[in-house]
Amino acid sequence: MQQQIPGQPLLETRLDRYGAAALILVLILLSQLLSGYHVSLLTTITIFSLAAMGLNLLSGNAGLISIAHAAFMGLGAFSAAWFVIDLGVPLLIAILLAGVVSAIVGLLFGLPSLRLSGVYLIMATFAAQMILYWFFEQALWLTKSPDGRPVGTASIGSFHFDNPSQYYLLVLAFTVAGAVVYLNILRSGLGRAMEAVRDLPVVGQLMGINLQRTQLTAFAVGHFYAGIAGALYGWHLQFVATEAFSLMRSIEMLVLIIIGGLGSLAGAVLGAGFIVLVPELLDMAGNRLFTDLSVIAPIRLGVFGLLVVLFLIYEPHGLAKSWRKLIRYLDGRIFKTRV
Amino acid sequence: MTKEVTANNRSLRVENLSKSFGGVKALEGVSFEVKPGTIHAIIGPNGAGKTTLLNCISGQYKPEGSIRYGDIELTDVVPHKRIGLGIARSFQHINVFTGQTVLENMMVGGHHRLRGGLLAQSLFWGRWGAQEEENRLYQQALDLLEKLGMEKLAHLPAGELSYGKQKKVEIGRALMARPQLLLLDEPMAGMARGEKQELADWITLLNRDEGLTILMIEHDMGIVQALAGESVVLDFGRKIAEGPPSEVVNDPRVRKAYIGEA
Repeated sequence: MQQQIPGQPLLETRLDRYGAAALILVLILLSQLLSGYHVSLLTTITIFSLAAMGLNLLSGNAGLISIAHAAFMGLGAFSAAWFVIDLGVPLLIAILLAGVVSAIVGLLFGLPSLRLSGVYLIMATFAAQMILYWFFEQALWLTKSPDGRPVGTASIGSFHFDNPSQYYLLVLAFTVAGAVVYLNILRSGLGRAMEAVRDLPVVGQLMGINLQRTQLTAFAVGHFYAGIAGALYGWHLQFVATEAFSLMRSIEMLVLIIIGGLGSLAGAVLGAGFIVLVPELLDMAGNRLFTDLSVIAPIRLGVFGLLVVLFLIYEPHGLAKSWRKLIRYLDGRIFKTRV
Repeated sequence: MTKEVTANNRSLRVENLSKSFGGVKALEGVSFEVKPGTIHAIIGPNGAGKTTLLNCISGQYKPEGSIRYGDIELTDVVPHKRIGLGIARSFQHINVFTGQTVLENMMVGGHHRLRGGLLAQSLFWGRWGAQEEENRLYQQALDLLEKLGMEKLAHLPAGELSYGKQKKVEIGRALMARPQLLLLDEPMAGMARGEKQELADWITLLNRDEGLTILMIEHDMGIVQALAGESVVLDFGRKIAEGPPSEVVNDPRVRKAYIGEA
């Protein structure tokens, strides 16, 4: 059963492959060496990357723009907590089930959206965000209080993830698996089909692509990622906070993939780094420059907004595009040939 | 598994086909037959309904009347399933997926042969994974690109190619579907003279060596006479003549409609 004939590789260049392996090693090292606060930042970035892969598949590759991604993360977080605490389901299974719940609900919201596109689809996802958020505040059997529910630390069997460095490894494992699946989908029929019906729906259908099925699959897979990322986020904060899954966060996720780069893995990862680290850096700079701390928050928001706008103007294809150019250049330099 | 191409013996019978848009009758009671293994031209002045006719066959439009392919009633088949019956097409205006590479465009053409589901594709490797059929499709696309002399362009975004090359990609993508009936909508429009000749030779080859039935819209009467054995002439949505192109051009109705002779 060995493959003789070559096909589309998982990663394009050799530098990508070595780089990805190096990145994973560096992340493991960092998570064990950095202080608790910095590990926490790293965890947030990693979880947001995972969530962003799902949104990038849905909005970037399939072109179905959603401003409800955070709500589906919340659905995953609350369902996972419910599975583990109320039903006693083992953690790993509960996290996967949370993904399944989000995928199914995402699919249900996707059904009426199939007839919509563009602005109307965004409005439908807006409704999904509102309905789910309202549900979190009302369904106390699931969420325990309108503000959310404490979940404590994660544990597998008798092993407790007592320190953030240990928990990070679990998050990283899920995120790497998510990245591999995302890349596999992109190099398979589904990936090509999603992009085909995004760009030229009629032509795509005449090439044998089932438009409805392709878009519904994108809804299911994209929200599967959201559910898993949400579940991981819950145990990261040890509290599933309703307000962490607000409309604002959903829009932030959309900004994340636009800045990072639509439709690519690098876009999801770089965008997550940007959206978490830039406000952090601005905070640090603010603390040095101003003695009056009350001015920092508004200035930070303003500068962040300005950066986003500048990015959209000067690199509309996102960080991933600049990254791609750099990788191709370096790969040519280091290995002389293109793969 | 790849579906083996069966002998091309299905004819396309268009019967009493009509299509209107609002009050405008784009096609009115058109009937003709395309015999298997022939090159058949659809000719007529602008606005005659040629592209509408092709769109009805490929499935964008739902017409009144009947289109039979072999013993299958095409108007009952949803558009995305028609390619599996062996009907593929190219478009008048370039319709390649500009963001995808040339190779990926070609692979979309063979999409209907893929059987792997979501799990097979996301897990990719192993016995149940999609790797084997994906690699096979990849290889088929590379082989066809080589035949077209475009293997060097395989990994370029299709949108970066010249107009003529993009047209070629589009026809290549249709061929990737391994059709028995190929619908071409003005394949040579906007091409340079050399490219036109190359494409014409190529169409002849496909028809002669692979037994492909070709139904094509073409304005250039020189090309039509050189390539097509049969033709149907439309004007204002009606069929005004049919027969071998060399005879059709001398038909007074055709001369009136097409060249504007009184």
